[in-house]
Amino acid sequence: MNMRAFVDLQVYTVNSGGRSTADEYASFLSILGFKYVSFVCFNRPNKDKFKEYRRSVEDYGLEYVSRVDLEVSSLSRAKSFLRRYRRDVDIIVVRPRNINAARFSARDRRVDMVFFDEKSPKFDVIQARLMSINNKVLEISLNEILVTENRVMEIKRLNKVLRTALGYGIKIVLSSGAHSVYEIRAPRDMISVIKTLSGIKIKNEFEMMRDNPLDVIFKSKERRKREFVMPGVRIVGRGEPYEVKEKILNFLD
Amino acid sequence: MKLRKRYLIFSIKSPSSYSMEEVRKAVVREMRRTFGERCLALSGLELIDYNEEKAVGIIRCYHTYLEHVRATLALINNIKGVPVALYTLKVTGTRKKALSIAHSLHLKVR
Repeated sequence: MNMRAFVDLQVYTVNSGGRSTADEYASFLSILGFKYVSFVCFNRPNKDKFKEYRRSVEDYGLEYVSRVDLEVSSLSRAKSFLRRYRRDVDIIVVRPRNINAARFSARDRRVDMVFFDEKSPKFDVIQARLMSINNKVLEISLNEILVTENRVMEIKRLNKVLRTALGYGIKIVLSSGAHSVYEIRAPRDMISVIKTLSGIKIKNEFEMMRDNPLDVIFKSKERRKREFVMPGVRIVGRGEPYEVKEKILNFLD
Repeated sequence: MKLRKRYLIFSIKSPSSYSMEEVRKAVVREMRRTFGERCLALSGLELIDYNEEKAVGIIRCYHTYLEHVRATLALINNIKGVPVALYTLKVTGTRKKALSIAHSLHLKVR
């Protein structure tokens, strides 16, 4: 695992409401020292797009991580989606649209990260406790501070979310959330923004852009392997079919 | 405590180019908006050099306010209504070294 690699997991291309292409992002991200990048794809994995993204990202020496953002309001739909597509993508991020969806995303082990955007309910203490128990990762985006009209409210919200999450020991992933190539920032600069604006002393601030996202990526990749059965159980080899000896059959009769 | 100086070498990614004065005004405005006049006064912020051709500049500040200046640069998202991205390339402790690094850079990201 390359622990010096910086990761940006939330970038919006023209296909997901952004204004720049994957190529433009990749060229700039490679200059800034990022190693892994993921583009947002809403509600349905598009394998052709994933291939296209991977190709354009690898041209600049970056590694692509496939990601799907699931806007959850109905739990049954979310469950059917997770059942169908879990093995097709590297990361599944839930954007809860109501409190039930938020609680569901904190409990379900097929969900990798939870992201609270402007349409999501508030990130409260109960949510934090649930996420902490189930080892869920919380994603925060720098773009919300960067482009908002009301920066005061956004800083206030960020401070509250960070304080609660860190208080419960939740792992945090910091992403750019860039909709355009001009909203991408250098990793160290992003951390400086979070540190200075929130005013919270974070022990190992680089974890948010390096260790935590890499942890999510590698855990998810491990889960997608054929040998994986469930956490703690994996197939290590295949034996010959077992044949019952005649002696034993006679004994059983 | 002795206030040591730090020199931030930064670059601007933007579709248009800017003069040194425009960049200085943008940085000062953002610092005042985000951290206030006290921070602006105590940080010792000063734009030492800016190369319009390369879009590379050097900012001086005190080491205690390095994170604030980094954050200020990151928070600037437009100059004269044109979208920009400012990013720190390197931080040095001497002006001489900062100038030599800035002069040796050949990048111009548009």
